[in-house]
Amino acid sequence: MSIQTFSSAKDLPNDCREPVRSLLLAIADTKMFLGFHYGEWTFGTPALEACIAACSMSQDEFGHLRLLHACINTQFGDSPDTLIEKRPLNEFANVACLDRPLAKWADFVAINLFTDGALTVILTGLQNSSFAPVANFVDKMVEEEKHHLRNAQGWFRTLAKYNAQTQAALEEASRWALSPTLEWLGPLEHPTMKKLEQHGIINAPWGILRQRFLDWVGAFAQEQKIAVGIKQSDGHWAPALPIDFSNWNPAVRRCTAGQPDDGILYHLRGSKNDIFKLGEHG
Amino acid sequence: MQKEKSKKQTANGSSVACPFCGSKETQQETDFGTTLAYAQFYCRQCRTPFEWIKWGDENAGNDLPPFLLHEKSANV
Repeated sequence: MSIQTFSSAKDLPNDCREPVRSLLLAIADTKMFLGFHYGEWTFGTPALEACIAACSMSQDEFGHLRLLHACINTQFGDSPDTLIEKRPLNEFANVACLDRPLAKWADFVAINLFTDGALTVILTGLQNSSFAPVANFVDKMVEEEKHHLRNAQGWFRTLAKYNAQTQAALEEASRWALSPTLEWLGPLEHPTMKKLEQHGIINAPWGILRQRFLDWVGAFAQEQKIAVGIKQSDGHWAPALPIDFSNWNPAVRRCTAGQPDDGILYHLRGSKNDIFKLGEHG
Repeated sequence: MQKEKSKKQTANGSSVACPFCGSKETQQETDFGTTLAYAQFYCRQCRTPFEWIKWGDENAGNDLPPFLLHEKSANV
């Protein structure tokens, strides 16, 4: 069966337009907060080399954010100014573990592996998308994300084998990051995700993309002897404690109410330097 | 206190030559340099760090999650 290609959002089927916008926004929001945390940790890493990696990854995430916001703006009419400056905090659809400042280096490694990893699985699901505006840039993002995951895997291995203290910190951080990341990925099946699949916006059923993520992190963490709260059964990995998605809200991709710290938004919005914002004609 | 230089070598035993002394006694320090396109190396011969452009890196595709090894696959 051939899948129709959509050159712009106005060509998308009516029931698919909002799910596409919502997914792009959730990816953009998560990248914005990842970029913030990577950037903030540029001067907090335990090694000089890691600081350069953190800085590079932050630049990547903000670059991806600009691409996504440009796409959302062109296709759906939401200006970047509206998306960053004027949205209520409870409308941001980022992964919840990015809501607050990271407490320790192991938290950084955990969001690098689990949260950035989950996002990358979804980006691979958008490759060859029938929605041409996304298909045009997603390959470039995936190429850059490969470096992020190499960095994450490298640090995960290092902390996993260094000593008992780093192992324990890594295990705690992994559980802290993985649970909200799985919540953000959502249930195996959901009507909004089904529409994306039906119209070829994503190249595989959502449940398969989610499973690819679980199977990768499950096997990888097991290899490093770090228990992250997922277990293997019938050849696949699943959360040890099933997640109750009955109250899952696809708009913000959370099961319970929550929002990012306004202190982080204060920095992302540049609120301290309000008078220097030059606007579109600056 | 001198920082321990114990990071990985490139998988092929480092074929990257030091741009200062030409030695191949080099080791990779990190995947990133001042930009994404660079990796950082250290020359054990002349004890100098240097940056190396990743183009032509035959190891660049190694150590990736399985879902990135068969990217752009046909629709499932």
